[in-house]
Amino acid sequence: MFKEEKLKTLFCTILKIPNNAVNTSTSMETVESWDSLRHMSLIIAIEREFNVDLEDEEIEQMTSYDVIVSILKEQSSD
Amino acid sequence: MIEKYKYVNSLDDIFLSHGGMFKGTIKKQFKEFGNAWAEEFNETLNAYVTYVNSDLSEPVRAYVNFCLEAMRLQKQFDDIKDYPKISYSEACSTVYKNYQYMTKVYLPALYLTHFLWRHHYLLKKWIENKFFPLLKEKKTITFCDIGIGTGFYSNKLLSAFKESEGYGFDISDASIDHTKKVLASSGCLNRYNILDKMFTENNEVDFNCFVCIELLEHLEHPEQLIKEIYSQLAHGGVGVISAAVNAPNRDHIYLYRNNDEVRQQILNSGFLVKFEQKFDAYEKGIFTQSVPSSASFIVKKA
Repeated sequence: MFKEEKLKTLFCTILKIPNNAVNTSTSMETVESWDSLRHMSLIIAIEREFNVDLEDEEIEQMTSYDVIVSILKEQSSD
Repeated sequence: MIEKYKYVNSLDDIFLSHGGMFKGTIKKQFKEFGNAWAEEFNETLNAYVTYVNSDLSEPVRAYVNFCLEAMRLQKQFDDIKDYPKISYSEACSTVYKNYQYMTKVYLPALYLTHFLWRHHYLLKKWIENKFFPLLKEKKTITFCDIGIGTGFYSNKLLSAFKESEGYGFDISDASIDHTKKVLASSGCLNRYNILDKMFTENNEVDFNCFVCIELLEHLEHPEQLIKEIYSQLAHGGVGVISAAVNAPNRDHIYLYRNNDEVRQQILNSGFLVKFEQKFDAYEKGIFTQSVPSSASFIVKKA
């Protein structure tokens, strides 16, 4: 079951940003610490937290909070 | 700025438009290593697009796929503390003898890692700064590249030492073809001989210099190879041995956990260690608790 609050917590923990910095405009462009290594950390944490298997193409493109939310909502509705 | 390096800039554009999570890769490296990095990488890419007769989107695709797999394996490695079990013959059939995979993913990705992976680039610079001066002292240079891979280091040696002659050993047809193209593009192929076999089968080449870069971890019994190199190398000969440490990959078999384990095998084989270095891929804790690194040694046979 996808819960946005849990996702925000992962963002804060892994990217080391405050909770109020996680919003619809959060992306690799806007967060300096969000590089490819932290991205993969985030992805694996998401897979474990929400019990989903993400495809490589999805992983590559999940470079903003919005896109991640969208993909996870889609997965949870399947 | 980066715009003046045509091919690096083009690669950056491809990463930005198709690279997804890797979109910051080029600028991050440029920020750390500057113009010298960009200039050499630009020349390398210029040659690459010529000899593969392709634009740079294919190697970017290969690099992305290769890195994603490696990163997943690194996370697994944090949990299980071991490499996935694979035999040498399985690695041969699924990787080295798999021409499609080698040419579409493995080799183009590895070629880019010499500039895009921090520890690979630092290793290259260290070899040039520490090993190449030792070769300048020699009247003649006949080197063996044991496990030629992409041909990157054979090309560096032949280009830096215009009178040198090289021998490359590899069992992969794809690696051999790739290396021929690299050396042809730099005009060095006429000073190079490729032997399509294991180095341990060598009985025809006398050499006073060698490089063995990130090969040991691909073997089941790497110390045997180091001993064989020692026995065949001329007295006074020098070489570079570098091995991947804590770095899972689909064809990595032998797990080295630190520099000490590599050094011990080198010393057991009879070599003297002249220089040693450890190059980390990234800081501990940024991505994983385990950090892949290159354990690198410049050795001499007394």
